[in-house]
Amino acid sequence: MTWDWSYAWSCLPLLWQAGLITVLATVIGGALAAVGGLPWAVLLRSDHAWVRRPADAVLQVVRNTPLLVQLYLLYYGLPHLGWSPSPLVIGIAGLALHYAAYAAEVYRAGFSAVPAGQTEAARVLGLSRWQRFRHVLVPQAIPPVLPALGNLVVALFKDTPVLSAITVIELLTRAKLLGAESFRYLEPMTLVGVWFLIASLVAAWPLTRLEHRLRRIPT
Amino acid sequence: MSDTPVVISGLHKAFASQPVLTGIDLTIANGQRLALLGPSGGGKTTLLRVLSALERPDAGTVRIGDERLWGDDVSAAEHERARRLVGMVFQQFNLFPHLTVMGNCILAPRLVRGLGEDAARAEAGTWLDRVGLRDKADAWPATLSGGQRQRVAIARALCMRPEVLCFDEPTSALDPELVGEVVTVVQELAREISTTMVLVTHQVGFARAVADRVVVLADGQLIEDGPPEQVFDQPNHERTRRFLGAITG
Ligand SMILES: Nc1ncnc2c1ncn2[C@@H]1O[C@H](COP(=O)(O)OP(=O)(O)OP(=O)(O)O)[C@@H](O)[C@H]1O
Ligand SMILES: [Mg+2]
Repeated sequence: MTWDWSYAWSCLPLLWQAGLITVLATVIGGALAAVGGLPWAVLLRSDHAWVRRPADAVLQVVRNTPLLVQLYLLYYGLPHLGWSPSPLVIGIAGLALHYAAYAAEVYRAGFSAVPAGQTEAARVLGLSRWQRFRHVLVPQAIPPVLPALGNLVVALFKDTPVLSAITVIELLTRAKLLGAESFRYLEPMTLVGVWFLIASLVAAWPLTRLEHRLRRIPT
Repeated sequence: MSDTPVVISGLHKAFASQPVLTGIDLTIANGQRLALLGPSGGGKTTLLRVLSALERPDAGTVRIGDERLWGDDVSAAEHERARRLVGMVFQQFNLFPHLTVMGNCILAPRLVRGLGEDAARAEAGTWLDRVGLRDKADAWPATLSGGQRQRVAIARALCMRPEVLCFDEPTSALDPELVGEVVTVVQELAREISTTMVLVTHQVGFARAVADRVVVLADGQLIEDGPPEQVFDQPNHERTRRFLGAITG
């Protein structure tokens, strides 16, 4: 089997479209997960058991059931609740929910790593709960967990093919479909591999910059 | 401001049914430099933590200035106002590692006192001057020695203009050769500013150098109360003699 440039070329438009779906799901799903995990982690650290317990219970359920099951539940369940968004929206919501649970766990670890003395010093200085969170806890808890959050986004990225189960055709599924039509898998799969590689490199750049900036503060 | 910035009465505190403070009554006069000594585990830190609102007592009342900090039906607003009047210097410094020395000193004045950046910096500058660290304003805490960190922590506390400043063994986390600089700074402040001070220490020399009144806390009770010469040289209790013997070696 030899590489066929003209076939590869003809695959590009459809792959490009599907690639956009993958990017969309990763960027929006990843951002929602990263943002949503933070308040979730705050609930997990609440002084009140009636807040902490349910937050922890939902976390356990989301983390310990397969993403695929959650997607099916949303896909077939939401219409029963009178809401029928597009499969892509459901897919992104499912990815966001699933990874928000992991992100919450990551943030929780970040917060627990900040010594109690930091909060106490801030309390004696008169900072309110929100000011302590914003100016003392977050700046110390988040930078160390950024690599772990980055890994979550990468994991989410690699999970996007699961969306095909609810009829969302992202990059890998499109490549399989193209391959199945023409019985040539080499070109579409190679293009997908190259595309994933470029996407990772592009995504890694701002992350390294960020880590570099944060490393200026000696600890 | 009343002339008794701290009035503690009938204070009780237990941890998991283990009593730590069993009926503390203590009135501290304006501008007093009170040294609080006592055997390890006697409850000194707990008393300071109640005073700085880090710990809620089981019973008793605490008044700071004209505001009640702890007591029955103290409103949240009054508690909050009282809390503002107390500063604390911790054994482990507890500087914010993600902020520079200046950043540590201006955070609370800006957020809590509502000062503008320039005013907060100017005031922090004068306190950093006082503790001899103006040239370290832009340094990160991690690059400072323990003695320097503790001096920054003192400046940071003073930037909030507390009526009462508590020190919990401010030198006991320091290497021996760095103790002197912190003792000197506290001693100078005690001479120059009118802030009421409560100093917990195991060093009799430190207490003698700074305090005009010494109390000894043992087994949850204040067993001595008097001027340093009297408490150190003619203590009332055998318990105090044994304890002083142990710490002075
Ligand atoms: N948060 C807590 N939970 C349970 N027990 C505590 C807590 N804080 C203090 N204690 C206990 O209360 C007692 C008094 O402790 P405290 O730290 O006030 O003593 P201290 O006089 O400051 O001692 P030291 O000289 O060692 O610093 C100790 O027995 C200690 O174990
Ligand atoms: Mg102590």
